[in-house]
Amino acid sequence: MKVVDRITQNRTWKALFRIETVTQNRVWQSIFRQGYPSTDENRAKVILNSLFFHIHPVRVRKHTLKVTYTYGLGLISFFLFGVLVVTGILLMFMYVPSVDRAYDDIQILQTSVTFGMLLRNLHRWAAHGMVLMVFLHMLRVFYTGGYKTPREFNWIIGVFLFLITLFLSFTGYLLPWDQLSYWAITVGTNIAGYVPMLGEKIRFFLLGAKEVGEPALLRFYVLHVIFLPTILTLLIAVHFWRIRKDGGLSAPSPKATPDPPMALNIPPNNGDARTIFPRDPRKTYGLMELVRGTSPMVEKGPEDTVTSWPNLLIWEVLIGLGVIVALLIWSLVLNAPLREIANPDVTENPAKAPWYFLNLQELLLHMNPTLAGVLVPGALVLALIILPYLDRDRADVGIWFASKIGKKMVLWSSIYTTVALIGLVLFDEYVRVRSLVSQPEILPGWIIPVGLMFILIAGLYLVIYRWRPTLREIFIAYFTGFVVTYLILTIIGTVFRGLGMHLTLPWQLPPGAFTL
Amino acid sequence: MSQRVVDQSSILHRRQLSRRDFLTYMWLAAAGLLAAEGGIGTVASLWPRVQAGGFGGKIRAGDVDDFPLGSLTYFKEGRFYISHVEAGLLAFYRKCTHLGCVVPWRPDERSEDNLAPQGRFNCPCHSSIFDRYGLVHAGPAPRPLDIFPITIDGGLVIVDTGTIIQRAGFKESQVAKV
Ligand code: HEM
Ligand code: FES
Repeated sequence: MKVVDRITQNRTWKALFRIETVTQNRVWQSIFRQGYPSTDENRAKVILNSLFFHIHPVRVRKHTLKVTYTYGLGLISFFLFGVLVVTGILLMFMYVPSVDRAYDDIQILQTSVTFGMLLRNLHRWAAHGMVLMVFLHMLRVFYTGGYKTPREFNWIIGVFLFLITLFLSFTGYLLPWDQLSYWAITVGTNIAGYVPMLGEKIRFFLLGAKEVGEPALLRFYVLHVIFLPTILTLLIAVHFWRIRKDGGLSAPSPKATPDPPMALNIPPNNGDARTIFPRDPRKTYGLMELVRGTSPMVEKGPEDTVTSWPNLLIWEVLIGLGVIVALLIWSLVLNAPLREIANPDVTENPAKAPWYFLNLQELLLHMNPTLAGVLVPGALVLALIILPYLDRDRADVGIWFASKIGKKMVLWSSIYTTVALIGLVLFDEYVRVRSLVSQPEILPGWIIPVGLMFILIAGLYLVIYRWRPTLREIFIAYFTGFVVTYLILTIIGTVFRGLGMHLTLPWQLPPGAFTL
Repeated sequence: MSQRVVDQSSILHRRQLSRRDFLTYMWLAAAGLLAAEGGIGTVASLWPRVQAGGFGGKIRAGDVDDFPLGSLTYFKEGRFYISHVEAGLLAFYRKCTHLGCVVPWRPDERSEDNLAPQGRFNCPCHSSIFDRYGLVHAGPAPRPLDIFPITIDGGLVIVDTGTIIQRAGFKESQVAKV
């Protein structure tokens, strides 16, 4: 002990190992223009002075920081995208998008490149995770009413973010050039071929040929590594910018009770709004930023805020670390799949797309491809886009599921949709609509499925009618119907479809029928 | 005062296009034109120059006698099957009419036609089932298997894989008589 003291309790040591030695010099101070953010002034400056931090507000609402409000889902999506960019750039050093080399390159990556398998796993699982997280983020925004005025436009940007995330996954799926890639893209682009009028042209343009081959691989590669990521990056920038300009995250409208009188013994600069916005006639407010939303309340700090440093930033660091740790563990445990090299002569049985497209593939089993692959998804996207313009009541913004009735809507709509869908899928498998009516083709392909959809939609209204729901609550019921449909079809497609895409119990699936 | 001036000008120009509006429209039109040119130009330059891969010519499939009644023969290079039905020969394009998977012939599955007790096409992608006539018996395929024209020249069967014929059902006129 004495020895240690001897070493540390002297001026030389102290001069060397004080934080001031690092921060109190001209180089450091030329980079960071404020002192250590231990005062509110410096906490504001640290945000304002940095390119990377300045997308944050200086102060955030306490409500925004509640984990149970956002679950950090948007942020997780963002970090996953970051991981994808980094691992993707590394992968580009080792991959050539040509039919002769692509598959070999992936095999070499897995077997000979140091950490190659891990790299591929990270990229693949981050992509899957991102699809999932973006979808969950959309659910959270919907159920908390985050899309309402003034956030309509940001919701629309979000819808496009979701679509581009899906396209990114889809284009990436072709690159390993194995059997999974080849047939998933064949089926996927054939769906594009069913777009009315222009379909075949679109497909030809996308593939660069009549069938999936060299030109398709190159085209998908370019879309995947530069075109779509650039657009996604730009849209994310707009998305974040709009969050700021829309007045931060949505929150329930503040209660109009003034803060308790300032407590004199609270030490200043502890980040509590009350101490910084005291009831003091000499205090003036300056205009710092123009945002939409209601202005600060009289005798209340601006909506119960705390400084972003460290209250918000610590969460971002933690979430970022959590994402990386979880992804690493997952990637060490589970390898990305690679089948035999693509063979245009033999279709895998069953031939499945990645899991997040299996809902679509499931629909394709039951109706005309134009309907299942183009019109139904198109109508859904359109509905999502116009949603914020239909639902204009702002009373329940920031409240999960809006109200007690809203929660009932979620429950009953889930039950209704689950029962109806499972019933329909079982019916079409074991009784088969087509064996009852097969001619003319328009009956099983169009009229029966469209009719059933309308009956299901009307039926849901009958179920929820007894609670006299408001417009928002009706939307909650239908949105829940959409989400549950999406989930159930995905689950059926992923673990209940075996040889020839027939219904099979999960533990009886043939090898290869379950692929992520 | 200024209020009045504004009012007057708006009355004066109510029915005419003001110069400012005209110029605004012109700028917008020019921008639109530029965007359209850029878009069309990009699509045109990226438009695929290669045409359909490999197959596409006339292929000699063999002698008429190679295809007995009720038989199915696969031609991998030509990407077609030859089926001998009662009326004559049919050449099916192997691509599923639903979403383009290759439909394999399953000789051991229960037949859907009356030519033989066993054998049918099962599409692995969404389980469409086709019979020896190429007709759909189950699944989402919207039309029967597409066919190629067959000519028979002195007992030699020739399939023209350059012409894909879509059809709504089976007709005698589709077969090559033997
Ligand atoms: C690449 C995908 C996306 C990323 C990286 C992203 C990122 C974020 C982040 C970081 C936030 C802050 C709050 C939070 O974490 O929940 C946010 C909020 C928001 N996002 Fe996204 N998002 C994406 C996709 C979407 C989608 C698909 C939608 C909806 C269709 C959407 C709509 C919104 C809206 C409306 C807000 C504001 C919500 C509020 O104020 O309560 N975003 N986004
Ligand atoms: S591709 Fe054959 S049934 Fe869908």
